Amino acid sequence: MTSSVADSPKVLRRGRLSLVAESAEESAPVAVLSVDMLPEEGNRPTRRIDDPWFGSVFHSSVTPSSTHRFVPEEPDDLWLRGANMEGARNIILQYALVRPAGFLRLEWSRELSHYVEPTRLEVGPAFGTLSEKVAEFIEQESLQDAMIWLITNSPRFFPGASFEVDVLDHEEGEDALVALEIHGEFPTKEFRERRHRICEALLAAGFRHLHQLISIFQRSEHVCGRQVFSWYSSVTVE
Amino acid sequence: MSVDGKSFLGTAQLLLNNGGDEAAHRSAISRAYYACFLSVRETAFRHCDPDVRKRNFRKERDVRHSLLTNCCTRPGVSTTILKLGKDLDALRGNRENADYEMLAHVSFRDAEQAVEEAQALLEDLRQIRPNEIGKALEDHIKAICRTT
Repeated sequence: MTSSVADSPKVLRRGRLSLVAESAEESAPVAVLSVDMLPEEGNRPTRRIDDPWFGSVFHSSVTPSSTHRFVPEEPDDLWLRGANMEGARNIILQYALVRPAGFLRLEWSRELSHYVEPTRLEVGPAFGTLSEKVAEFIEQESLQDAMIWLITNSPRFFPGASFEVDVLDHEEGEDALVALEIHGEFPTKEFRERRHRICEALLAAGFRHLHQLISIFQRSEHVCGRQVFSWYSSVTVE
Repeated sequence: MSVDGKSFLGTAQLLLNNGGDEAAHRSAISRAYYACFLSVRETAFRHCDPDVRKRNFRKERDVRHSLLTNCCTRPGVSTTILKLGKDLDALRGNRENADYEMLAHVSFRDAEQAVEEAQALLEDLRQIRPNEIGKALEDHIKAICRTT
């Protein structure tokens, strides 16, 4: 059985990002989210990703094929009932922040398949890949949680749009701005109102630092050479 | 003779209306931002407490871009000022993109939207009590001085 979250791999600026679920041979209920680095990426140190559902139960290790594997030790009923999907989603989002280009693979056992099968998994909004510069900035400014919030919530405020995040060049002595470029067709008045709402919500969610650094504006075209892709996909079981 | 910052919005509109190329679109975005930045800065500087002003700035241009938007988005400011700050940040980001990101294609629509945003911001600015903006700058400077 193969469950594919990304029906076809999306071609990105620097590689391929997709999520594939496959049956595992083990009989124990086990799920593995692995991230295959692209050849040019090389091995990176193992990274533990904290997550409300997966964080405390995951081990990660680097396999010889540069695959990061995350294995829950004792998935309980709640996890099986679908929290796993939310957890997987968070992990993917977090991982995408630190490793923008990679190959994500989610595997689970046959025992899990009947729980997983009816579950729709939405793997984030239509966001473009984050560059190394952006990923470094996010880490340096400790904006991970805020960015997860932004990536998760932006489509709610700007339905139908796609998004790019960038750290803008700036003059010496000025603070860097994190640009959230909205690629949409909102009339100016409506766009401003939507921006006000997302900024209010960002503050209400407690992310004042990102609120201060963010610049949200609309663009009609994507940056040349960057391909925006959609992470919205659902689990389908073949 | 001094120039009113708002007059740069007219320049932005000229660039837009003259059917120019991408350089004109980029310049229109830049001028639209500066029309707003200079207007908000002038209001904040003029209506800030004179003692704070004298102690911290030699001249108006010492109030830099980040300082101005940060004072508008600091804790305790009104929702109106907060929105003004984020609107200014939006135009600033758009302007930095237009001025430095040469790979991005900047269309007529991008420039038109920046000009419309600037018009809306300047209209909002007219509705805000100048003292409120001056106070935001003043409080921000005092807060910075306390922490350094």
